[in-house]
Amino acid sequence: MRRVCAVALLSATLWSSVGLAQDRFSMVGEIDLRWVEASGPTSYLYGGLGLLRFDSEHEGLRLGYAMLAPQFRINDILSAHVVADAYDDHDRNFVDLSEAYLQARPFPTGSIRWSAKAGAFYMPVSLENRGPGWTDVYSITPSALNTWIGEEFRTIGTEFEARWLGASHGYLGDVALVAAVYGWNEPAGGLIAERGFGMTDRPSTLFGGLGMPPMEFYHQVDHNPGYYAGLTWRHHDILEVRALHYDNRADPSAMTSTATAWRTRFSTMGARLEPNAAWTFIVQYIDGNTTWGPNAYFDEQFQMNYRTAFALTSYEWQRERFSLRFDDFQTSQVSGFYGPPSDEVGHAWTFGWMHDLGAGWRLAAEWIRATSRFPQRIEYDESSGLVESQVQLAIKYRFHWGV
Amino acid sequence: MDQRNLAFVPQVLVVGVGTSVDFPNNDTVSHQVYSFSPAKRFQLPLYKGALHPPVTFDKAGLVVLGCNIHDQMVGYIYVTDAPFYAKTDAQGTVHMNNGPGDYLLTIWSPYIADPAATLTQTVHVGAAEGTSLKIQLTRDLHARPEPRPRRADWEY
Repeated sequence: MRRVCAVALLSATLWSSVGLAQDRFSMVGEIDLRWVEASGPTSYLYGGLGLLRFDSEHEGLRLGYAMLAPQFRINDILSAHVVADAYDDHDRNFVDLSEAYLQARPFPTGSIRWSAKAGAFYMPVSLENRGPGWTDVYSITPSALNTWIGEEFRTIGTEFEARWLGASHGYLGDVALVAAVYGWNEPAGGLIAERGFGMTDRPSTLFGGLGMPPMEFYHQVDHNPGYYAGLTWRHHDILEVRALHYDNRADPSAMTSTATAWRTRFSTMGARLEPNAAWTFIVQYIDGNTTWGPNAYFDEQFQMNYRTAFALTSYEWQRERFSLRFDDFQTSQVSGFYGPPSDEVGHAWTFGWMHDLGAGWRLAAEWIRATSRFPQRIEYDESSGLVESQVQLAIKYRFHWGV
Repeated sequence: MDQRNLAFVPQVLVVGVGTSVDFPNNDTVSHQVYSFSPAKRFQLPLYKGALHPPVTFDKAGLVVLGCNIHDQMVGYIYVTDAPFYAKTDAQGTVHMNNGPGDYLLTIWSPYIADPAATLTQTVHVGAAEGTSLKIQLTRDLHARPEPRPRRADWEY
């Protein structure tokens, strides 16, 4: 009985504290169900070498994703953010976290505003994934570049930003410097070495993996912290330019029983132009390399360069949005050959249409055609050249609660 | 100075020195209003509705308002020690209850990027009641972009 009383008291206390702070807690959730027609060979998510999310054996009615993103304002400076995702591609956890972090934003006392994040979160690279829970707002599938950012990278550490608030004081815009120190991301680079670039809206989660057997990306293999540093210039609501350099500073010879380290570095630059409320233009590129294996025998060390770029144009008219994107991607192996080179050359066209049905409901349709050549496919008795196409029709429902 | 749909309403307020201004938040989300302008530095911690007492603007100058949660929110309070002041309507018309005489007229808008010194001129107001003055710009001004409506759940 005492226990019951204690539980009753505890729940009453919790309830009243939640009641008092009801404007501090907010939540956004989204569910995406879709019908898929796909022509390609087995997707890498199901153990093949196809670049798209779905294939001819995995189509029809599918769960795109379910996402729940609660946030809690602890006080005027600190807020806690969590993003939980669910996917039905047999990942270890049906529901998993993709982000969990604390954010500090003190009031600006001068024209520079400091802010910081600590925890696990996406680095500020994508100019497409502006929606809640890092969802793409222009189409269903992000570019090859941002697909990769979502697959292999999560900052598990601390990020600082200093933003000069110039636009509100009559200057040409805001300028922000961002820098981060992180760990637990040494396996980043393994997926692009094995598969090349892909195009999916299936980012990795913190405790799960991608593919079959699953590749996992969030392990501490050595104890070298990685870093990235970037610069952003935002001119009112019209132009955003971003540049960032990433280096995970991993020791490529390090390994544990569960993971190996890849030394992965890249530079990325992009611009998003929104000349008026209807049109959006985005260009973005990434250029880098990854290395794996001990350095003692140079030829045995796997080294690969990669680069990709895309150009997107999007037009919004009343409740409709139309987007067209061209992706170009390439990986080239430099050393460490044990079989066919891990050289991928490809390009893709994506056409997306979104229709706002109102009351949180949206319809989205997307067609992707990806043409690629990847010599590793020969080892699986497939032709190295491949044309894959995928049509998706999604119905999405988003809700907000508490705000 | 109201807050509606993630914007300050009105976007521009002109007040005399010593005026107190309320900052009611009529949005469904909380705001944290601040200014670090030399004319008035203040912070209103996280709130909804009319939680905070009004803020008194006791120094002349431009006060740029922001929200610490929503970077896109920008508002302006123009605090003036001029004896007569007003905000123009959409047609650019303004009414002032001043008597006849010579006056220094200054115009200001957040969307004009020209220096303030070039936007001042002397005007003569005659004795007749209802005197109307027309100020004609002699050249195009440098415009600053106007803010656009934003989506509450997008990252900008």
